[in-house]
Amino acid sequence: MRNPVMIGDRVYLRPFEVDDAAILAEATYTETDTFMERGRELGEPMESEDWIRGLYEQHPGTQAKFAMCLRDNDLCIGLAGLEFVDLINGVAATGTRFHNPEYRNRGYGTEAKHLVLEYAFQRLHLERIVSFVFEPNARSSAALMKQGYRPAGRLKYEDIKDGRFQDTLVFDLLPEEWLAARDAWQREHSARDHAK
Amino acid sequence: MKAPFLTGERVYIRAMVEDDKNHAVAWFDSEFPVNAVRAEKFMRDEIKETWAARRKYFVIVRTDSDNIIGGIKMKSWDMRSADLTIRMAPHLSQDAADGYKADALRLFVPWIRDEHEYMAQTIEIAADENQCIAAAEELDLYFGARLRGYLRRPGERIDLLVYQALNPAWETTGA
Repeated sequence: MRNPVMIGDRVYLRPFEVDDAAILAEATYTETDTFMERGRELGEPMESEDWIRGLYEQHPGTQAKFAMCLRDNDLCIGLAGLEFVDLINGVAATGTRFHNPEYRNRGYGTEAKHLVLEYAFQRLHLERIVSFVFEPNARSSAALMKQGYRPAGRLKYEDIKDGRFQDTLVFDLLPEEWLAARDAWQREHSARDHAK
Repeated sequence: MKAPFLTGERVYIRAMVEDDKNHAVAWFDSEFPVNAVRAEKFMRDEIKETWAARRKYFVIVRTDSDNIIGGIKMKSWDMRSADLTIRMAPHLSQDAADGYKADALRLFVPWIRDEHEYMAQTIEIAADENQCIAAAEELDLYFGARLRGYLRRPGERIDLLVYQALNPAWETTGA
């Protein structure tokens, strides 16, 4: 593992390095889904490199973005982390994105998300987490609900999709709700391993 | 300089001028101290674009004394929707800050909604800012979200309420 911050059974989280820029840009060319934002974008390696160079400049920062990597082979398969970190109020927003569609629906994202939430609640000692999801992205909303988040409301007219303005759904999460969701996920995980 | 359309009985709102660097604690959105050198750098970095700026800054000033008591940051990617952040001077009592912020909302929100025809403005109000909540209701703002215990207060946590000023002209066109 390379410079790990949080380590799970199959995935670990590490800071992005400049040599990840090419992976981030290339990944946009293999994206299969169009519902997450207005549409797919084509990434530019130089833009990603610039983004990575500035990512950890500020300490303490207002974001904590991690490369989501496989323990088996160190492959970076996505991004997970916190933004809008506010240490005075003890709050932040989460965001997760898979670069490689091949690794979706295999439990890696859930594992990475629990690592991010452990980092948020137990390392940074945050007390509330929020998440914003563009309404057409039903997959992300469903994932958040499984991770313990509760619906907090809706903000109107976020962006255009299917010829009309669509909303952003707002979710929030308390530490005890996350712990209950993680316990349930761990029980399900170990039962599945036991059955194999 | 007071624009009549952004001037109320207790406060008025104006664009920033260089001398505002000397009063940055009142408008700069941070709980940490900010001196004139830092404020000037911020102003030179941020307030250099004109009509297409993604972030615009204004100050909230007392009408009777011309003292700066707050600031407004308006962040917009598309000149269609905006996020408003209102910072009030730390020397104000919570009640006074709540009142002046409510006054600023009453001036600023209709200007952006009705004259600039923004589709949506998003505004965060703490659950204990009762005067701002009253202003939000007067302005017929849409109540978008309640974030449970999102803000820390001494000995407790309180909810954060997220409102939006929606332009009815857009709503009726099926937006």
